[in-house]
Formats: sequence, C-alpha cells, structure tokens
Amino acid sequence: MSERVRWSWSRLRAPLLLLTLVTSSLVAAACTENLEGGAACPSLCPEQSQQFRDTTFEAVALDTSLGGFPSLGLSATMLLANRPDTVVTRNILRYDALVTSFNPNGTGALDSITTIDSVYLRLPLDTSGRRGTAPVTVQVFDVDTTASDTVPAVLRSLFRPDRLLGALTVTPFTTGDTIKIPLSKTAVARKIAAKARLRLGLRLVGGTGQLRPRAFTLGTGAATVQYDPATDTTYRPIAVATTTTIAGATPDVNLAYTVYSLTDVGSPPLTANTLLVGGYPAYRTYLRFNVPARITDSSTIVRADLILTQQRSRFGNANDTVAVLPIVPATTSAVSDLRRILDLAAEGRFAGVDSTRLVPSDSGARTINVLALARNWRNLPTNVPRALAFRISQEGAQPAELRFFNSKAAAGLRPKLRITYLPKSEFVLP
Amino acid sequence: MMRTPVHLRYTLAITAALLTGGSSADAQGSLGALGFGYPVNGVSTRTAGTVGALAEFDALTPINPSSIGGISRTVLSVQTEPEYRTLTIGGVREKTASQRVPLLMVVLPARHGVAVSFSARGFLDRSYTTSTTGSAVLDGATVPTTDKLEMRGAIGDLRGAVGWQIVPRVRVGLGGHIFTGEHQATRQRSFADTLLFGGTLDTSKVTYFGTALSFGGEAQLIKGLAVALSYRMGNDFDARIRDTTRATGAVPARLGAAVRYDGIPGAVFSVGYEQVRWSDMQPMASSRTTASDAANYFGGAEIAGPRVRGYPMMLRVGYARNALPFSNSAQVVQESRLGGGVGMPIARDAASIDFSLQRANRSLAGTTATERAWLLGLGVQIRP
Repeated sequence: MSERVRWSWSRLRAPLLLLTLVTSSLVAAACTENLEGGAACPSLCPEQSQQFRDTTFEAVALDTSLGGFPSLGLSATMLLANRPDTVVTRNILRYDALVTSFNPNGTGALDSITTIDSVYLRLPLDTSGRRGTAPVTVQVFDVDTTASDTVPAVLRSLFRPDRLLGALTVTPFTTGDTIKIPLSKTAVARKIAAKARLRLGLRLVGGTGQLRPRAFTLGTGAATVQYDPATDTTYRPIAVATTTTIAGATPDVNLAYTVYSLTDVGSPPLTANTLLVGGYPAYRTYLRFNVPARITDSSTIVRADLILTQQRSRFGNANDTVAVLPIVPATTSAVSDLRRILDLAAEGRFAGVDSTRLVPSDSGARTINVLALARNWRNLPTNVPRALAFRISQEGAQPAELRFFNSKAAAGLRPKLRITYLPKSEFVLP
Repeated sequence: MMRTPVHLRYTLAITAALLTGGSSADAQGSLGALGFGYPVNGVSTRTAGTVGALAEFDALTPINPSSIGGISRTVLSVQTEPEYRTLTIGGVREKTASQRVPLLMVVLPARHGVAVSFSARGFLDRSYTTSTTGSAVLDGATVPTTDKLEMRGAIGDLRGAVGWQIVPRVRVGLGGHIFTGEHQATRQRSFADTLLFGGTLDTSKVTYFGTALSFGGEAQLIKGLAVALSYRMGNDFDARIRDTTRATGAVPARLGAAVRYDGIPGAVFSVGYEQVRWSDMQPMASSRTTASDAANYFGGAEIAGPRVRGYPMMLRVGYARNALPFSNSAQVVQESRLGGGVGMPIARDAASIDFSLQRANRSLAGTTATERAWLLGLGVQIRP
C-alpha cells in the first residue's frame, strides 16, 4: 500500500530554490561564447600590426622567347591570310582516307562509289577572324605528292594552276560561319576510284583579306570534303573528315600534319633585348624568377605584379586590343628543354592568374597581376622553378604581337616584380 | 538498503549537465586580456562566494596545500564560471561573454590526518577576438583594411598536494605545480579590393611550461581564531615557439595570508591578503607589456542560513580589491569585486551544490576605459 505524501510550501521551498538556481545557472553557462571585441583598439589592443613591405626588384633569372607556336595539330583555328604587308599564309588539309563505298538506298548492300556529285570543301569559319571588305578568292589545290610534303618549299611548289581543284570568291567581312568551296568532281572521283588520298592546299588570292578556318572541333577535323556517292539526289552527302597516316609516325605527329599552315610572310624577326608574345608564327615568352625565400616562404604576399616595359609594335593588327594569356610552367628542373616546358605548362586560370589586355602599338610600363601565382610559390617543391610564361590569345590564328624589353635591356626597362608582403612574425607573445 | 547511490545519481546528473552545458573555452578580453591574460585564479565556488576571502582555508581551493590536511572523505569538485563583460571606452559599449571551467579537483584522504589532492585550475586566461578596420599604406597609397585577431588559449595550474593535520589545531601542506598551456593567435587581414590584394592569414602559437612548489600552514591560535599562511615558490617558466625557447621567466611567486574567525556558531569570517610577484613573468613579455606585482585584499563571511532537509544552507558574501598583473603602460588595471553565494546540500551529506555571483569593476588609470563584469559560478562537490 503506497504511502500518501503531504505536500506543503515548506517542503517544496528548498527543491524549488535549488531547481531555480540550477536552471538559471545552466542557462547562463550554456550561452554562446562571444569574444568579439575591438572597441578598445588601438589604445588597449595588446598586439601591434606588422607593417606591410613593398619591394620592386629585378627577379628574373631567365627570360626568353620561343617561336613556332602553336604546335601543329593543337590549334583549334588557323589563319588563312593574304595581307602581303603583314602576313600571308596557306593551309593544308589532309584527307588520307576518302570514303570509297556506300550503301545504295534500301538495298542493304555495300557498293563501290563510281560516280560522285556535288563535291565541296566545307570550311567552318571563326567569324571573329574575318578581315577585309574587298572580294578575295579562296583557291584549293591538290598538294598530294610523293615527295617530302612536310617540307614547306615542296608544298608551295604544288600551288600551281594544273593542280587547282576549285575556287570561291568571297568578301571576308560578309562571310557566314561556313563557306562551301566547289571542288572538281573529276579529280576527286579519280582519287576515290584509285583509293588515293586527297590533300588540299588553300590560299587567298586576288585581294587583301583574311579568314580564320576552324581546324579542329572536339578533337576531330572541322573542315570536311563532302560529295554525293551517286547522281541520285536522294542519297545523303558523304562527309569526310581530315585524317592522315604517316608511316611509322606517332599519333601526335599524325595529328600535327592533319591540318596545318604554312607561312609565306610573317612577323619580323626577334630583335635583341626583346621578349615577344604572339606574332605569326607565334612566339611565347618564358620568365623564370628568383625570389628570396624570406618573401615567398616566410611572408604572406598581398600583392604581386610583374612589370614589363612594352615596346611599340607595328606588326599585324597593331591597334586592336589583344589578350596576353598567362601559362604556368609546372615541370620540375629535370625538364630543361624550354619548348617541352612550355608544351607542358598549365593554363594560367588554373593558377588564378588572369589574362591582361594590351594594345600592340602602345608602349610603356605594363603591370600584370601575378598575385595568385606568387602566393602559391611557397607550396611548390623546391625543384619546380618559379616561372611564368605568356602566349597571345588566338595564338596561330591572328598575327598580333606584343613586344617587351627583356632582362638584358637598360636597367629601367627590364622586367621587374613588385611585391607587397607581410613578413611572418611570432606575434603571439604579448 | 543504501540510499547513497540514488543521491549520487542525482548529483552526477547535475555534474554532467554542468560539464556539457557550456563551451569550455576560456576567455577574456579588453582590460582583463592585456598581457598574458586575466588571472583566473581558479577557486572553488564556495570561495568565489566570499570573493576569495576563504581561499587560504578552503580545502577545495588549491591555493594553500595545508587546507586539505585532515580531510576524511574523498571529495570531487567541478564547477563552471561564465563571465559577462561590458567594456566602456570613449562612449562606446561593447559586450562580450566567455565560458570557463576554472577548477577541477579531487581530494583523497589517507591515514593519520594526511590527504592528497590533485587539481587543475585556470591560472591565466587569454582568449579574445578583436575586429577592427584600418588602413595600410602600400606603395604610397592608403588602402582600407579589415583586421581580425583571434587569440585563444590559457595557462593552467596542475597541482598535486599533500596536507597533514599534525594536531587538530595545526595543519601543514606541500604542493607541486606544473604550469602549462598555450596561446594561439590567428591574425586575418583583408582588403576591400580582393582582385588586386590578397588577404593575410597568419598564425602564431606559443606553449608554456613552468613549475613551482607551494607550502602552507594553518594554525588555530585561540578558540575560533585561525591563521593561514602559504607561499608559492616559482621556478623557470618557459615560453616556447615550436621547438625553441623564446623567453624564460619564472612562475610568479605568491605569498598569501588570512585570518579566520568562526567563534560564532554557524558563521565564519575571514580576511586575507596576497602578494603576487607577476614581474617574474616580465622577461617572457615584449616591451609592449608591463607586468606589475599585485597586492590583493579580501574580506568575506559565510553564515549558516535556513536548513534544507536538516542541513543548513550556507550564505556567503565578500569583497575584494585586486590589481591585475598586466598592462600596456606603467598604469595598473585595478579591480574591485563584490559578491555573494549560496551553498546547498543536495544529497544529504554526499554532495552539495554552490552558487556564486560576483560583480567586478575594472579600470585603468590614464584611460577612459572601464569594464564591468558579472561572474556566475556553479560548482558541485561529491563526497562518495
């Protein structure tokens, strides 16, 4: 039998008091800690801020420019230009595997192609590269030869009237994003019948202008040779993409010679005391820095600018703004071939270095923000040189160039690094 | 049938709530945060209720090792002590709050009046955050910045002590101390123009290690009147950054004395004085910090109040004037404290719970800065 409990205020007073005190204390103790202050600063702030330091110095240990860019086969677009005072180029397109058979409509059988119709070279264009308001003629030649056709002189000799396969007159400024150049049915049919390869050479004649054909799209050739495999128009045209096979060559060599350009007239040569970015064929500039470890490793860099002194250039589209794109070499010192280093360099945007837009005809000091790059130097292994390289935008597809003084120029013109940094300090002790 | 386990469960539940209820980060800022931080001087909540007046006599306050002599039951003590501060300077008021667990202690009785204790208490608390706007001159141009400094850390006092009650009127004790802790500072500075300027994030950490010995004695001179005396002798105190000893000072020597009168049944009155040679730490500090010796005075009383389940509820009150050890000038931060507290049995004589509330006023001569703080204490003692 349970015992009845008698409740009274005197019995409840102590537990209620205890409960109240415990609850209020727990609520107070559970309050979020708030240590944010600052009103007493600077008069009572016990730690003093370290002062930033500025330094501008010639940090370049090695600077040079390398030509021949972009590597064959790696350019998404190419330049087809006839600007005799600036740049004249030719393009080579290889179709080493023409389609020689087809499925007749509804039969399900495979027949050889004996007659063709509507033969075109379909050439996609980057319309931002059009230049010229007067008509020019795009000529297409058969440049296939048993001679060494990787030699430019050999190829140039094949641009002759008896090898002309087709032509189209266009006004560059008014072209759309694709032009279709009619090709000789007879010549192409002969190639198909012989299971021979078709190698085309393009050039502009009859006026001044330039086009920017697309070389590759998603890794495959963009320009196609199209033809109907029969005179019956119900057949869909066959489109043959660029491809080449060089005996014993590696895939990258095959890719390099699938679509490429020849230069008849290009940039003026590299002069002394000069770093060159862009031009045609394009140059890239490589700079290796020697920055004291007290700055890169023992400080926090808050601003880093590369100061280059620009020379006036009159080549190419000298008055058009052009972007200079940073690339970040990431190879170790085990790789000493600068060409190889540049081929393996990463795009600057992956290192947080943005492009800079400049006008080739300008001159004077130019500042390029390399903050993110410089802040990352402390994280690099010691055997990775602290370096930066530049390439021009639309490299190999436009002639603009930027020229800068190199480290052998007069003292005031040399490349410099301007770094603002906060030296690391053990500021924890009061 | 034993009732104790039931009471213990109740007590342990509260203890667990105390330990998990709030953040355990130690903190201090503004006036109290100067130098190596605020001298927490972890004392029991009972002693906090008398604002330190009972420190020399209280067995659960690891100041005077003789105070544990004669303890006949194991005692486990835990407590929490949040502080709410309001700093006023130049017409600007700023409120901050910090959480502390200033003391954990266990006392273990042995034979013949001997007892040993182990404790961990807060010694100096240096946790604060300052957010300020400023500017930096970069290449001749003034650039606006936002600065944030987070300082976290504390130095603790780990003590092992032996107390011996030689005769009922005399107790002596000996303690060995390890002072250890660390401060970690994180300084963040950012610029409005994040494209041109990168922010800075810098950290710096220092660890401390030092030792000390403490001695104490307590004697009842006449019935109802007792005196206690304690002395802490500091040894080397190292400040180490990574593997390097950056500075060496000494653990501050401390001399404390107190008189207690308990001649009136149910009442205890005490006054005390302590002198701490904080200048022993000056070699560890930079020229920006001045460590000054401090003389502190305490007075307080504990009176038996209403009875709860047959046991008296203890009511406490006290007052103290302290000098804080660190400043950024020749002036010393002065602190006065007024406080009170309550102690209640919660499991007959197997456990008790104490509350304290203190009001502190701090000021630094030569500045308009004043700081007022509420310190709330909550402690539990378990005597299994």
